[in-house]
Amino acid sequence: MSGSPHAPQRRELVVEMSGLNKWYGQHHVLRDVSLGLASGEKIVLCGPSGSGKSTLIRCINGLEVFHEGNLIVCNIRLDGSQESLAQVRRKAGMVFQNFNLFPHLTVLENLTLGAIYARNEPEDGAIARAHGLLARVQLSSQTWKFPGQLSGGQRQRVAIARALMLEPEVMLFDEPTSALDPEMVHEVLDVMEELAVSGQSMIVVTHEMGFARSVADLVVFMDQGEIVEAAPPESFFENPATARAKAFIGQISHAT
Amino acid sequence: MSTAPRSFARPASSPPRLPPADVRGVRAFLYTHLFQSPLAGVFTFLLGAVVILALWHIARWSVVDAVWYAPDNSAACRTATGACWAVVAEKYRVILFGAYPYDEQWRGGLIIAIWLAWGAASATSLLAVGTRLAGWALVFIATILLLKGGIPGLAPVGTDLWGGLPLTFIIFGGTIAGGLPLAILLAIGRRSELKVVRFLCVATIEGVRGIPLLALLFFAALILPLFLPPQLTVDKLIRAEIGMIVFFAAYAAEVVRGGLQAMPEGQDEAAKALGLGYWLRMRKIILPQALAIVVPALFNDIIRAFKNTTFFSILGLFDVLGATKAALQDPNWVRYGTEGYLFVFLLYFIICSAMSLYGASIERDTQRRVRRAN
Amino acid sequence: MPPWRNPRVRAIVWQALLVLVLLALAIWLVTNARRALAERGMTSGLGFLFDPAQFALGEAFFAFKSGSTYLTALAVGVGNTVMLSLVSVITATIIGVLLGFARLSRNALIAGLAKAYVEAFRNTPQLVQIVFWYSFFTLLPGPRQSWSLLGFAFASNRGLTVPAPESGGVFLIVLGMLALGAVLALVFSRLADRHRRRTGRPWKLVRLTELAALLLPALATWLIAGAPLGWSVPALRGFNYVGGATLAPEFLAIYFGLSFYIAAFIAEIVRGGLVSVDAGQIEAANAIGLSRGDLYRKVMVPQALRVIIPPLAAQYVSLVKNSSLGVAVGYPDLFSISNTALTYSGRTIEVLCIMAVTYLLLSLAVGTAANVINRFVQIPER
Repeated sequence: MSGSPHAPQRRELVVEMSGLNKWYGQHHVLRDVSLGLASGEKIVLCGPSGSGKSTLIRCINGLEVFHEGNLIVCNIRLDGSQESLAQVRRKAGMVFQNFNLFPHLTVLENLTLGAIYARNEPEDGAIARAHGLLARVQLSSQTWKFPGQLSGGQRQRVAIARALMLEPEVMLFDEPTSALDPEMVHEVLDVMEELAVSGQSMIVVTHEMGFARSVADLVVFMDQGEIVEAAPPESFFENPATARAKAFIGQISHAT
Repeated sequence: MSTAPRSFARPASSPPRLPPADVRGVRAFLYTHLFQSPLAGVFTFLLGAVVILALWHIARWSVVDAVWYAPDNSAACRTATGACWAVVAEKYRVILFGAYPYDEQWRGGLIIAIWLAWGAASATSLLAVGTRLAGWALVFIATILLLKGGIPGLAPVGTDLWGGLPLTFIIFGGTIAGGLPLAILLAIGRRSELKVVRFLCVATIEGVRGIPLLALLFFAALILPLFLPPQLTVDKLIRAEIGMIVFFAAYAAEVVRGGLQAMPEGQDEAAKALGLGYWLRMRKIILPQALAIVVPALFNDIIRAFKNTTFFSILGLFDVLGATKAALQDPNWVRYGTEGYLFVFLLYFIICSAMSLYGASIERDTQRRVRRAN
Repeated sequence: MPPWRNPRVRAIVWQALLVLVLLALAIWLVTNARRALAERGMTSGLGFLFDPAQFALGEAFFAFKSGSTYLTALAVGVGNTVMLSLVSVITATIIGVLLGFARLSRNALIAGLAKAYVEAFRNTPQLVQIVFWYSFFTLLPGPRQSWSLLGFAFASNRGLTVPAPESGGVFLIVLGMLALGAVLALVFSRLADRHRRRTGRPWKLVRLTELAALLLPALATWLIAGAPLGWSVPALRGFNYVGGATLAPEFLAIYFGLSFYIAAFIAEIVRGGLVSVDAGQIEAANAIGLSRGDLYRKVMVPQALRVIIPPLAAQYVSLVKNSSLGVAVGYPDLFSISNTALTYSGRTIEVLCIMAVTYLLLSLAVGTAANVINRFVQIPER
């Protein structure tokens, strides 16, 4: 099935990549990947492990380099220069699987560090915004705690707040709930849903198919470094077009 | 720029390609590691030029202009501009064997060969740990017998004539052989519930760790004879060895204690539940696991023990360093001390590097085993 | 329960027995010692400390006049040890930290050279290095054919002859002011940081002002003292050098032997500390756009310090104790002087005990300081 009813040429593209290729040594880990994310759109990236989905999302904010192709984020082309990297990182917020909070700083300081030192914001303004975001993720009571004193779900919510401090145009989520105990997964997914509903553009790498069904505008299935299938969630889950996607969906539903 | 279609399906996968030339291979390596930017490139060139110049000078001094053999009492060396390695050719017997009688030096050579051979054999993973340890015990005993003599076929040689590499090996072997059991006892004692035992162990460990090794050796060499009755004279070598053993034990005890602390409590509880008494628990369950955990950390102390054998030269004994110092007193060769010490430098470097590589490989093996067990 | 089965009773009995055995051992040892000392006609006691010591000592940081008391001699030893350790610790730390960072450099040449240094100096005995340096310097040609380093420092068999400030006192005070300036610069950088956080505007001239804070007190003191410019530059007159100061081979040997050896270990400790910071931290810091400098200052170094300080303190203690190796080259440190003192006075036990206790106190001092600093860098956990 190809060709589509909604072509977002009129909406501005926040992330635009074409012909992206990357190698680890001889291993071809990203093969001719082309994808576009429109403003306000939510894309879920899924696929078996080793499919390159984490690598792809990390290329978007420059944590990984690609060798061939074009990648444009918010009209900034990533050309390998430090300048373009710095500019892109101001527009893209990232949430990691392992939270990566700074353990030697309080929750508040974790949030304000980037604002003060990378965006040169005055402290008072940064602190006020941080309080607002902490309220938004329902962690106001933990403002003065250290990450080591929080549960996994709380830490990830702090990580989301930290990324939101950048006021990013696109949020990147790299398997945000994979490292969490099951009972804490939903508190993080709730925050992400609230974000999605408020119109934040996001690309989410996840296995949480329930989240994909309810939030995603597009589900992109990757395998062995290439995009195998991309479709809105209803058609992807009910009627996968490729055999590989079908097999993957079968595996996932058996697991849950 | 084209936008991807909203729905997309690729039934067949396209074949993987090889990376383009500037991603793999030598060029990629050069770009990522040496020439990341024009500034980095210039810096690499300058530094590289300095390094090459230095290496050229060193090569010229130590190889090209060097004199390797000067039978006529260093006359050839005096006129040469390069290194005088003839001092090594001339004095190697003293450096390697000390004052050991010339006719018996083959025994020293045999000892060195045995140590190297068993060291190499232990480094491969062919033999079980128990076999290796047993082998080392045999090597140690054989070394003492060969050095001492006194058995049919081997003329007796007094300890005051022992020297060189065999002496270094014996000191090292004795330190480990005596120090490890003592370290284990001290570590267990430090965790004991008996207040007196714990206090004694803590005092010993902290006291010994606070003073220099030299002080301990001097204590052992000078003061011990005063505290022993005159009938009980102990050889200076043995006295100094006791000092080394105590020093090694104090440091190793802390490492072993770390291993004991890292053991999950469940092990001891399970052993207790099985009705095993204290010493049986220790021997069969706790100690084997704790020791396995700390072997990599112990290696640092073991290598340091090998390097510390040089301290015996200060006491007037003729380990490799002491023997070299004595050899270089020869007025004909005294001005080539630099070359002599460089040779000793190289000798220790090879042995210690080998041990350190071995320790690193043990560490990797332990980590692999731990990962598999979890 | 019958008393002989009660574990508590048994514990007490065992311990009592142990104490008795040790006491008996101690008595036996002391009796032997008394007899041995009596046989040699030696008396014991600490009174000898106030007797004149009729030996000469090499000159180091502190000089000793033959005829002063044994106590003075030992004090000189302690002074020399402390100063030597201080100078070596500073040198070793500077070299070690630079090497540690170099080992992590992306430039393969720098990383390779650093690794070569670390392997070479770690895998050889410290004593061999010390003896090598001593032999190296004493085998250099005499002052007339000395090697010249950039024209104003000379290496010969007398040691290293370097230019020395003419007014030594002012020089030392200026150095002290430099240390004060370092503290001031640190304070200023804290203030600048606070200003930046409050207003969001980084002070453009921060680095310049920090440099000024570092140098101004020293500069001011120098000017007040009349701006003495005199550097006596060594010049060859006849067979020797006139002017300048000469660092004796004994000092150079133990100084190089201590600094270069420990620097290799410090390099590994620093590297281990930096590497111990989770890679995810660096990614997160990059993702929020922190500059490389801020990444190091705000994220990596605070966490690395936690891992670095305990082993670093251990290395410092080790350095202080290994200064005793000065005896091998004749440098008058505490151990070396103790050795001479016990030979001349015959009071082996007393001198060795005093020396041991002094080293214990020095080790304890460094260890306690390290513990205090360690407490500051701890990170609270649940």
